[in-house]
Amino acid sequence: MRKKVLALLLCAAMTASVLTGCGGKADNAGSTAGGESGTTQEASGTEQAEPAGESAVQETAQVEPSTTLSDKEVNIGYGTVIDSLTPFRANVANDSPYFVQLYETLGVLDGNREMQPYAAKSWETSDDGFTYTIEIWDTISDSAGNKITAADIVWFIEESKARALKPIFAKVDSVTQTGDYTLELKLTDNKFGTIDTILMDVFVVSKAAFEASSDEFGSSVVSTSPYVCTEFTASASISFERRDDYWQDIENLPECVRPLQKKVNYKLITEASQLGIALETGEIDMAINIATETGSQFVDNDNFVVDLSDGRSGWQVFFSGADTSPAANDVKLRQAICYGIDAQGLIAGLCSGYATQMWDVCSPFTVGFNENWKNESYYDYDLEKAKALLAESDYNGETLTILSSSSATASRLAQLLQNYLVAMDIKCEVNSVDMALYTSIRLDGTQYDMVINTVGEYSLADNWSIRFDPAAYATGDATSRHDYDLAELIYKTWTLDGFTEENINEVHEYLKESAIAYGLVNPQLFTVWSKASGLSKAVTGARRNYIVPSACQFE
Amino acid sequence: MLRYIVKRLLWMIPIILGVTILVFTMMIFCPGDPAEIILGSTAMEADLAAKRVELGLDKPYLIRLATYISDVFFHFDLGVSWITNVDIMSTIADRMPRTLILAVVTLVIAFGLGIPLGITAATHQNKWQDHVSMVLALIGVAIPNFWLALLLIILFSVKLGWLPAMGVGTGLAGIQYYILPALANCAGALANSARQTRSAMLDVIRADYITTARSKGVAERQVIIKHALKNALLPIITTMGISFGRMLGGAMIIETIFSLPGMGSYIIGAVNNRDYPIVQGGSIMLAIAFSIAMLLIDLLYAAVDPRIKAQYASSKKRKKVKAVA
Repeated sequence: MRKKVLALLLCAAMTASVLTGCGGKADNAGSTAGGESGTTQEASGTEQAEPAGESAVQETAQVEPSTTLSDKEVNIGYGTVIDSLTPFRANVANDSPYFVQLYETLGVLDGNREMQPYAAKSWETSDDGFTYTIEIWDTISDSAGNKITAADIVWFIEESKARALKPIFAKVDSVTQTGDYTLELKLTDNKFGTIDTILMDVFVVSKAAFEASSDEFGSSVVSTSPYVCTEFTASASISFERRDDYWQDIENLPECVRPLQKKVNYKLITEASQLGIALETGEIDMAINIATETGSQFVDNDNFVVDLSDGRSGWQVFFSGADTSPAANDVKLRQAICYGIDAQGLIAGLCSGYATQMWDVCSPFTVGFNENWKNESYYDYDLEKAKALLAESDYNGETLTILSSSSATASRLAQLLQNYLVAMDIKCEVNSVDMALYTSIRLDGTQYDMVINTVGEYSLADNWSIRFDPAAYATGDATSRHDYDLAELIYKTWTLDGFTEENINEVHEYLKESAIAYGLVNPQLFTVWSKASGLSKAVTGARRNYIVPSACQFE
Repeated sequence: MLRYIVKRLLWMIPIILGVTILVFTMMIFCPGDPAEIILGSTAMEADLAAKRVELGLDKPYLIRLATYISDVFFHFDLGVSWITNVDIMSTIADRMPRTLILAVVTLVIAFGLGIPLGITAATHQNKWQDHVSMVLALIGVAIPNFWLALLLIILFSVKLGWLPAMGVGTGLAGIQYYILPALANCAGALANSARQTRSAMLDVIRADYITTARSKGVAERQVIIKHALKNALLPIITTMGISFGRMLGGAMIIETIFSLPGMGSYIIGAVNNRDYPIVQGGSIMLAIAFSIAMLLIDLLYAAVDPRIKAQYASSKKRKKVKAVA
């Protein structure tokens, strides 16, 4: 009898939990047929899926830019949290969409990835990118009424350099005020993209307001942007309201920073499934950069629109350049491995089909990427060819080590890679380590034969300098390699005049032929919004080209 | 009693000093270069070297330790986060109340339900009420809190729309944000308190003074609550104290699932980022909070048991009592 009662109770508990847990999919399943074509993409097995996100952008791009200010309040979910609003910060969370509303910058990237003046009126170089004269608008004032002059910009740059939280400010040699609204910026290098990054990273802040703040703008800021922060709970939420006293005419602003919405509230939700739940319950109108597993649940759901766009970084494998590695000086072995990896298999296995193959070590999102590369073959999967190249190589059955961080994606990618190598009869082991340990050994090529990374900087010049410049680190390049032929090609692309298609192609071809690094797969970014929100045009822009909710058009 | 409290508070100094030295030393041996973590993958060797010098990582261990101890104990300065450059003390001041509220609400639910459940089980030993209570306690111990959290969210937020699934609120209305996290967090503590109460009550319920009370015609309800429960409270209070201390560390999983910015997620995030000052500062604050919680538990002992209260009385008072006797 006692056992029966126990069994009954357990059954009841299980049934209750199953009934409670199930049913969430019913709405989605019922709406599959009516899914909006062109804006969403279905999992496609090993078939290369069409980049549906692009069609979403094309569709919305037909709507003219608007300058009509609405009284709308939008609620946005985003997964990266911040603990402070301070303008002096490391690169962590730098690409978060709320920074567009938090601080005005000297320049801002528009949806076409072109730098547009924002607080800066103009900038020009006098000696091939080493010295810049920057002029700011003479009408800038913050929400407390402080007038912004060149002295404030000079102070911010000097302070950023002194605090050394962002490496980009180490490239500032000196900054001098030359007039009320002009300044001269001298750089230590003239690499392509350096000035753009500085223009994006200089927050326009009144020195007087900052110094008057009790916590260095930690919990409340005096705003120069078209919005003012009205509420901030560290790691939980941040809200903005459009300023009535904003200094600039709306039509003079780049489209991505136009304050079309009256209020924008961000809920900072780190747990991916909670972002999905917040969308379903209507707590948020839009989730930006939502995880694939959660975002894919909204594909073909009649109540939501899913926007897919190319990943910003992609995943790469870099071969060790240290002499202790069999792969360091054996181009046949490296090429064999590249031919033995099935990119379409990675798309299906790693990203459930929501990814694109790569055509270079860098993602197509990177400034300088040549669209023609997409028409070239890039180590198309060919196991027979891989085995033939392996036979020609000096590989003698050594066990190769793949280093990856222990993040879910990286370690899974490492396992998939291991399987491909085993299929080619290459002995292989995976070393998945904690992120902190990973960062401390990733530059030491003696610790691995291959390292998996996700690198995505502003431009190809940036990417190449941090990965392949033999002078960058004490041990050589980022894998302890000393390839001076490659370095010569890379250095040619660094200057403003040298960042040409011809020079870029030379580096691309060299990297492809030498196979010292290989682009594996590029997971797509999911942004999901509810149809009930009435969004009619999604405007993208800023550092990572995410959708900027404050600039979007709603019906 | 006051003397005892002061003595206990003074004892906290070497405890916190010990925790400080231990945590500081352990962080030194953790792998990972903070300079690289702060500056990211775009930093070159020269930037990294400069950052290491700025952080004082080039100085000997003892000098760094001495500087840190001096800052903490003489200036009450836990430093700033290496990643966000934010003052740690003010961040803890923001986050600690949320963790405290979550812990208190959890304990109120856990012990508010657990104690009656345990009493019912004890007073109906080997009957169906006992079995049902203990099965519920068993389920409570066995259910993982993250699974329960997801079920609660689906039921109360998605299906019924009664309670918020995430975030924090302000004022009295803000309490609603703690209900689901507390319910998900309390299953284990509820089960433990029910089992502990049952066990303690069974020990007491057969005592002679309970039989005496019943024979004097005292109502059964009074016998259980006034005579039996009061004497069974000591082990229950101990369980409560340990649970409270554990919850002060922050229910990391619960805080993450419910996007509740408390101490748990703060410290875990710092560990992952090798943000040493936060880990050290957070650990010191938790050591202080735990010590205070243990002191409160000891004082509660005294409140429910006059024998313990008598032990805390000063020797002067005790002499006075003896003289009167």
